Amino acid sequence: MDCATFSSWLENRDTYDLSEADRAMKHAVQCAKCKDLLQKDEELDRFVAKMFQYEMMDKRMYGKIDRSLGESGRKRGIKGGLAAAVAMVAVVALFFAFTPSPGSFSSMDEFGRYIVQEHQNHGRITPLFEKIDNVEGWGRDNLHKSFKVNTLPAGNLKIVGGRICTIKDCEFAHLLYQDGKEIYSLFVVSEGEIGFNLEPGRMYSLTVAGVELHVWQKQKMVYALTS
Amino acid sequence: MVTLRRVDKKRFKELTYPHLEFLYNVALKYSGNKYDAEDLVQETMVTAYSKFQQLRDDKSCRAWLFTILRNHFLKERKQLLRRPYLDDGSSYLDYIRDEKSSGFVDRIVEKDANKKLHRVLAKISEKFKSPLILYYMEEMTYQEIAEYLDIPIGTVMSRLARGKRYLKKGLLQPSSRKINKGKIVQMMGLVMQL
Repeated sequence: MDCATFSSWLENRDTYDLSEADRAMKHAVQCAKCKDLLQKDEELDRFVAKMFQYEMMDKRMYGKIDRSLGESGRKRGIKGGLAAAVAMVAVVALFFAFTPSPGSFSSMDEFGRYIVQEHQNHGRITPLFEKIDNVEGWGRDNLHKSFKVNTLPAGNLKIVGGRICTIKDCEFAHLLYQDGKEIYSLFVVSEGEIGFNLEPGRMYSLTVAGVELHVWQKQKMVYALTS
Repeated sequence: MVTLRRVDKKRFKELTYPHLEFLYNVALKYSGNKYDAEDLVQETMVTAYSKFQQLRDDKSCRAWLFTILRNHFLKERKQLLRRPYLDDGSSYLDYIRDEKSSGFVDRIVEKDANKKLHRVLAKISEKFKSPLILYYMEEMTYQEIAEYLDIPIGTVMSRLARGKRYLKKGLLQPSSRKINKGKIVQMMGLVMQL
């Protein structure tokens, strides 16, 4: 090993293996300049190591960290609480957004669509319909509401039967009438359940999917008759 | 729930507080001043506390804390780290070759060596600085450093060699004030690393 190689080894000795170190040491023994350089580098190394020695940490740091951890815990608690509250509000909002509010129809049109659909699905004589002798009594017993069907806008209708059905979470009395071969459905529901207002005594007529529908309100009850 | 958190905090303190001096000193070498070092340690401890459940093995607590501290440092000093280290390409051995043997370090390194150490360390990239800290301060072996930094042992050896060169040269180089008084160090502007 020559002096240049020795210097290179000295500067990069971390990357060399032990055999190279042996060769370098042998050279240093024979070369006074390189031996001197090695001693100086080792002195410098010791000096550097000394500068890296631990410095005393301010003992108040323990207290500061204690407080930081406490605040962190509280912040996490607050954050957790806030997150839980926000999540709860979101869940409730989603619940109300996607769950139809009970008994609430947004408009007469929507009400009409649901009524006609129910008529088309079930408006025929089936065992579902209970035979009714006294509509008023049946209504009181089954719908728990008092309603009277004295006159109907359509002609000579005879009651066939009745059932209780639920449309958009509203309980309706579904009464089936017959006029000759024609079957009519009369739906009766409490005024407070439908979600929109009707002018008392006024007859509303609309046609939904080819079915004519008459709607009116009388004594806090809403009536809808298909024809 | 409250009881569980209290127990966790107690255990957290038992495990981590013995390493606070170590963390502080690493932070000091990273940041160069005690105020930033204290901030760094506090941030490290808060992060460690919030992620305490991620510590699987109590024996690796020191290395785990070191990693958190290092990540904090890297995150906060990202822009500084992009600054290239300038080197004139000369060897640090040139500064000591002609000096008299005994006590030469005291003669050529400035009186306030610690300040100079921090100044020099501030210019050295973290990838060289971390091995240097673990080597000189913790007297770790190459293997231990490799495990701490999660890099191959060969990388540790080369980074340590380069880090030592930068560090020693930085310490031996006269400060700019002295250069103005006549000592000449030509900065060639060579980008040595990064």
